[in-house]
Amino acid sequence: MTLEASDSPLPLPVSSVHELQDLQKKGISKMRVVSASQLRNSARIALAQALNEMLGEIQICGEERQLILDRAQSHLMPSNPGTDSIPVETPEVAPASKPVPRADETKEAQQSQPPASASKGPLGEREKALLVQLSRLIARDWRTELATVRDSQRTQVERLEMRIEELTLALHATDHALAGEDKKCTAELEVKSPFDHKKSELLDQLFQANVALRSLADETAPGETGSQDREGR
Amino acid sequence: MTPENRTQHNSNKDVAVPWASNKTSILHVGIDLGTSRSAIASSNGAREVMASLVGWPKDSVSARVLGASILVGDAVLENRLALHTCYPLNAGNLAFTELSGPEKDASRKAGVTLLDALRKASNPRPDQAVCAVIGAPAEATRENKQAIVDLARDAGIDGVMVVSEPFAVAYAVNALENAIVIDIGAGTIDLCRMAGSLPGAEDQVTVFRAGNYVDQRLAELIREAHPQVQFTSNMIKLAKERFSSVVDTENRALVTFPVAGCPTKIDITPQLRSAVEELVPWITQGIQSLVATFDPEFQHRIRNKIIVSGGGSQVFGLQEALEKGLEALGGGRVTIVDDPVYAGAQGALKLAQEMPEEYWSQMRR
Repeated sequence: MTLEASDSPLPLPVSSVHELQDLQKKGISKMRVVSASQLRNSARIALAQALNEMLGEIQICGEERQLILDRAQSHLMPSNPGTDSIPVETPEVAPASKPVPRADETKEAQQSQPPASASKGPLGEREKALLVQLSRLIARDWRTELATVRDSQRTQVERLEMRIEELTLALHATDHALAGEDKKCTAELEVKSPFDHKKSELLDQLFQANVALRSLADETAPGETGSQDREGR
Repeated sequence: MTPENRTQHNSNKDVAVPWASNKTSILHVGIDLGTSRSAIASSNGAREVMASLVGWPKDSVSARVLGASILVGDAVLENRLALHTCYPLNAGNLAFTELSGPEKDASRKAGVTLLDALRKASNPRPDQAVCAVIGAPAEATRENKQAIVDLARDAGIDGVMVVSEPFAVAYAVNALENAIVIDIGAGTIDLCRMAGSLPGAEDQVTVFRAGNYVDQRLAELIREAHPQVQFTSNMIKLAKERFSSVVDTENRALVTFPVAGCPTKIDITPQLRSAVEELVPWITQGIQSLVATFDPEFQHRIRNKIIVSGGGSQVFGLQEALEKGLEALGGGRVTIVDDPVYAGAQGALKLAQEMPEEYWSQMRR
């Protein structure tokens, strides 16, 4: 026997009809019949709770928070509150028993179920959990991003500060060298390579050799022959 | 006559330079005075290399055609048929010191003209005193060094210092310690041992077999192999500069020389390699003599720091050939300088620039 077989089948667009025996075979021993409006109401409550939690995680000002809440409220509120305000008591039925809905309940269910919203379906515990998890993930991702940006900014600032410090020191040194009285200080700051002294010695030797060459040229009488000469030493 | 317009006349009448007292600043110049080619580098950035050759028109017709009473450098090579030519340097030294009579005067004049052309190539301003360091062969005689100074002064160079050419190269490449510098020129190959001080006679070796010797041997070998071929020393020199190699490569040295007036392609690869290879034992012997007389503790150091410069260093495969030649002496490492033609002039310029100003003041007096 199926629900369709009954005289007044429940007209839920997303519902499906199952054989009781089949359900029993699947291990379902008890079931609770809930009206569509009741189901939608519980979904709204769950969604509102999830939204609240999400808003709690996100750092925004009170005004914006209120704005979001209001907009959420407008979407969550039932289009016909009068019909949903009355909770529907549904009996628990034994597996074998045939669920016979009352005629007025069927009517209510039919009226309270708008065709557009019905296609969206209810928000279950799993979806709620997913939403919460998603909100947490987003919040954590933002926090990481913020921390990274803050760290890189701090590094750059530190590097710039060091560079400024170095340049200030160099500027001081230059000022000191320029203004200082002054050749002594400059000499101290200059870094001389070990070969600089050797070079100056070599230049001196070369100069002395050329002075000797010149003086010999002055002294040498014309026609006198000379021997091979060393340049230095 | 205003002081600015006064000119100083030297013993050589062809050269007139501004009066020394008008000169308020210094232009530093480095000169590599070579037997075949001379190079100049100056502190204002001027650099030039020219043939060490001077020429005079043979007669009034050639004088009129050429439009000059005297020519210097590569222009002489181009117009040599209309000129009496003179190389002022022979085997690295000024030739006039070994001549006499009119030849001596002509050679001396050629020397002054060459130095004057080098001075002009440095582009000095009228208010600049030219202070030059001139590179001479490693074993130049005292007379030759004195002659260089005299001729440079006659050429209008205000301050002159003479330095051993390989020392100038060593100074250019900062190889003043534990190194051997070899300058392969046309007239001589100068080897100089650097031990951190100014090199003396015992630190230097001059081999009087260099580029010109290779030209001579190449001409002999070509004449033996191809008796019918006509050529001049200049053609031989150009062929050597283009193809010289000591390596057996697939590239052939093919030149077009006339045979009975008809341009003919001939292969001179074996002759060229043979002529160039003859230099290698002379260089390695020079290296050996400098290494053998050096402090035994430091011999390995100078053997591993052999620096080669000069036009002859551009012979293909020379580096490997020298290293191979050094194997019998315990091995060595040879380096060819990056700018072999100007290395000597650059080193001389560096010396001129780093010489204290008071020294130049003394040399100008």
